[in-house]
Amino acid sequence: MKLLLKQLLNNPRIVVLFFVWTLPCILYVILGVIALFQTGWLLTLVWVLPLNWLVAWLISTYWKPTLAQRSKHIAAPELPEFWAERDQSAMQIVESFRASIAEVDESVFTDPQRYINDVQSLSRQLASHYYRKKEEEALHPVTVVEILAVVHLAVEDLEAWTQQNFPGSEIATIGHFSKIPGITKQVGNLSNLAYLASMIFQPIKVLAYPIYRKSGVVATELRSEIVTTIYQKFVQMAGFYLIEMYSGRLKAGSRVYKERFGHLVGAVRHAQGDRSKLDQINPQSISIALVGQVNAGKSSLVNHLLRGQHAITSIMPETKQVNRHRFPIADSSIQISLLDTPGYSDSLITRESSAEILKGVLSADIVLLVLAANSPAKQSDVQMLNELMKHYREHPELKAPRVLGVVTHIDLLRPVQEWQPPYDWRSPKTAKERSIHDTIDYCRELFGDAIQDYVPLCLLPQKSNEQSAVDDLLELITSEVSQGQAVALVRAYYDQFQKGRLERVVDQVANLVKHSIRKK
Amino acid sequence: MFGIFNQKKIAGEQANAAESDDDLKKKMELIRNRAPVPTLWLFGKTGSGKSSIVQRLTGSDEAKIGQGFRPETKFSRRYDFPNGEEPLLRFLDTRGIGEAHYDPTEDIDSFHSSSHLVLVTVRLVDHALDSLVGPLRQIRRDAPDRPVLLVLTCLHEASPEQDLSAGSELVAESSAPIHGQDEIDESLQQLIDLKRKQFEGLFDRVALIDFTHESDGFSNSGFGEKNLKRLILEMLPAAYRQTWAAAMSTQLEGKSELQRRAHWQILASSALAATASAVPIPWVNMPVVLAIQTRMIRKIACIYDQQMTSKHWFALSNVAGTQVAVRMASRELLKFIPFVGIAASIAGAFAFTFALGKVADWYFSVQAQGKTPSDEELRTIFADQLARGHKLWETPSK
Repeated sequence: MKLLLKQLLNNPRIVVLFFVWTLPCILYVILGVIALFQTGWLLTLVWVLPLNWLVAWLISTYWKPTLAQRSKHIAAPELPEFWAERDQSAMQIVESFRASIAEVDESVFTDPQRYINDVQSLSRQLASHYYRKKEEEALHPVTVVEILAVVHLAVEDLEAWTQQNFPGSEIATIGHFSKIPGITKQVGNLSNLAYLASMIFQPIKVLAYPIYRKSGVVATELRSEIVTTIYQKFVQMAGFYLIEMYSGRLKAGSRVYKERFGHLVGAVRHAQGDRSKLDQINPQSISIALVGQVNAGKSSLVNHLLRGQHAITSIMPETKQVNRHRFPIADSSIQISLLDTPGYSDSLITRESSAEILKGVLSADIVLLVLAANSPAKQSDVQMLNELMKHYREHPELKAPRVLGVVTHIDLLRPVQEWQPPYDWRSPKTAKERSIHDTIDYCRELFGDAIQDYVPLCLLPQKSNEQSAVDDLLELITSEVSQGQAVALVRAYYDQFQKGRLERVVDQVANLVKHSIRKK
Repeated sequence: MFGIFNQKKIAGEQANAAESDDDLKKKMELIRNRAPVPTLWLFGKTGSGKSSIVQRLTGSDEAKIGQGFRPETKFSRRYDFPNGEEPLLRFLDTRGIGEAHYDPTEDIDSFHSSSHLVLVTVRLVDHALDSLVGPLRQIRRDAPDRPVLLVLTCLHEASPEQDLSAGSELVAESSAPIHGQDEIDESLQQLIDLKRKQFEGLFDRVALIDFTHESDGFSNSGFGEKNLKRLILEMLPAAYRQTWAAAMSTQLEGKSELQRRAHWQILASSALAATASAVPIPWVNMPVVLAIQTRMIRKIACIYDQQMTSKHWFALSNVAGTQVAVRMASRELLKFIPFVGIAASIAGAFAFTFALGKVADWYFSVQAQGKTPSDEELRTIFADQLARGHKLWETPSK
């Protein structure tokens, strides 16, 4: 009580506000009691309040919440876009671990061993997920700096979260955890205060006080639920950063991590999935690679996207090297470059060109696979996609770019001489629409999930008065930009990290040489 | 020694009226293996038009043609035309190279030894050829003497604005510029030159074709067909040219499906009869040629959905100026055999069988309409067709 009073005196604003808020209610209560007294119903109705409390206590005693229900109090976190598939499956481990935590009481926060143990066992589970070894060996690749980074980041996030959900609480460090029971006590104290206040207006409540004390269990239960929720949130946060750690992104320490990823994660969470915000936060450049068989129409597609003659196109194989074009997308601050690559499967292609193509596609953040509708020979496209997927399987820390299929030369599909766009191929009615629809069906059958979406196009300048199809493609590309940005970000991070490590090693060797020379 | 022995044996067999079917089957098999059936190996990427060529040359719907975006020929196969018993032409149709999840090595091995001419089909605008050039190089190395015809298809994809097929057929002989039409687009010439470069040393001659679907709206859906047939004739080994020339000599435009089938059957049987009389074992030819003719007439009757009765046999053999020995043998195949019609020469065997077939064709088609043709009419037709048959089997000049 003393603590409460002290807090109230420290904060007169709350007292005033509380008074103003409750004044009408108090008046109603007074008037109601007077009215009841005058009608003589007071004695008959006075038992309603304690009776309700009694019922509430009985319900809370015999109707316990199940574990699964409780773990629903915390929503599964929104996963950052740059997370690879391996990271997403790791989050499931964290979630099931969190849900398995039984009810904890306030004492948890005064006993640091408890949460350290929990974080450790979670980290072991995740380590075996990432390294597929025995759990004991798994902790080797993790440094002390990283563990500290995890704890630090988790607590920082927890602070923001508790402040959002329990106003007035201040948890900034592990030391502040001991304050958590205080928050729950406040909740109990507030209800006590309310009861005492009501006694002033209703003296008869004094008689019901023992029953009220009994129902105080309800408040305790509520309290322990709050504690459990906070604790589970902590475990979830720790799990999140453990995943970041095991995926290697935390290796450079928590500060660099914060700089590179923190705002991205935060932005995604903050914007609640609204990705357009990302563009403002993180302007940078991404590249879109156009790949496909020779004469599939890659350079023509570049000209269509840039609305002008930028790349040389011909019925003969024309593009011999990777060409880069700037690609401005309206209302976006991101710099996008289009990589126009030489076509593969050309029997006269040089070894250097093939290497160029692969380099281009592996450095792309979005891949446009250009497919000629009139050529069913797609073996080399399947090979190219397999190559791409193999690369990202071998580098699971990287995020694979999205692949969009652009089906060109649809004008050459049956009936060949007909060209009267627009064609609504999604719900085909005419013969041409059916041809386009079936072509795309065949592609889906062949490439499966490897290609996310398709746009059919005609690229002949004399035929393509069909701007809407190009607009469709532009729209699709724009919607993929934030995904591409995430891909670029992760790649840039690892590139820099690798570079940094190399520099450090060079420095170390140089120092070693210097020392040994000096010694001589 | 063997000759005497064989003749004795034959004499004995002929005395025995019940010659066994099995024996005849064996003889037929022997003939069939020696028949100069031109065998074309179609090799090309999926969607390059292999099956279209088969369909165009035979007029048969057997070879399924795709819509152009999905591989249609699911298995490589040998396709005997018009049927496996009396083959006139043989196509080795490879499954499309470059089709996802298909390795052609095994098929190439199995087709390699049995073909006379390789047709490499390539869409003129398709430059993605590495999957094709590699195996082709191997094929060429294995049999450097076997001719290879490079067939450039889908010309309309190279000239989207002009309907090439409205003009006369294009010829691209040796390394000279293409000719055949007055104004030829420059890009077309460039593309053909590029193809020559891409397939350098891998082909002997080039054919330009554009076989489209009627619904595609081109003026000539069989553009380049004549030239293709000529090139195949010229490139086939001499022994096989005769069959090819006979097979390709007749215009079938405007003929009904039944007439076409009958026509091919007649040609196939005639060619086989010619082979049978060319086989240098004297005892073989007579009963076998008879069996081939009998079989042909039965099949034609079957095509026109007519019952084969002794009345029909009598009418037909009478027309051919023969007497019929109605042998009441128990064996089905030798039940009624017209006993003449065995010509001394090979051309004679072909022409006689051809004429007999044509008469049967006409006879049954009239029968199918419920009329009975007179002997006079039949005789006139027989005489005409006999002359035509002789002409068909003349050795074609290069």
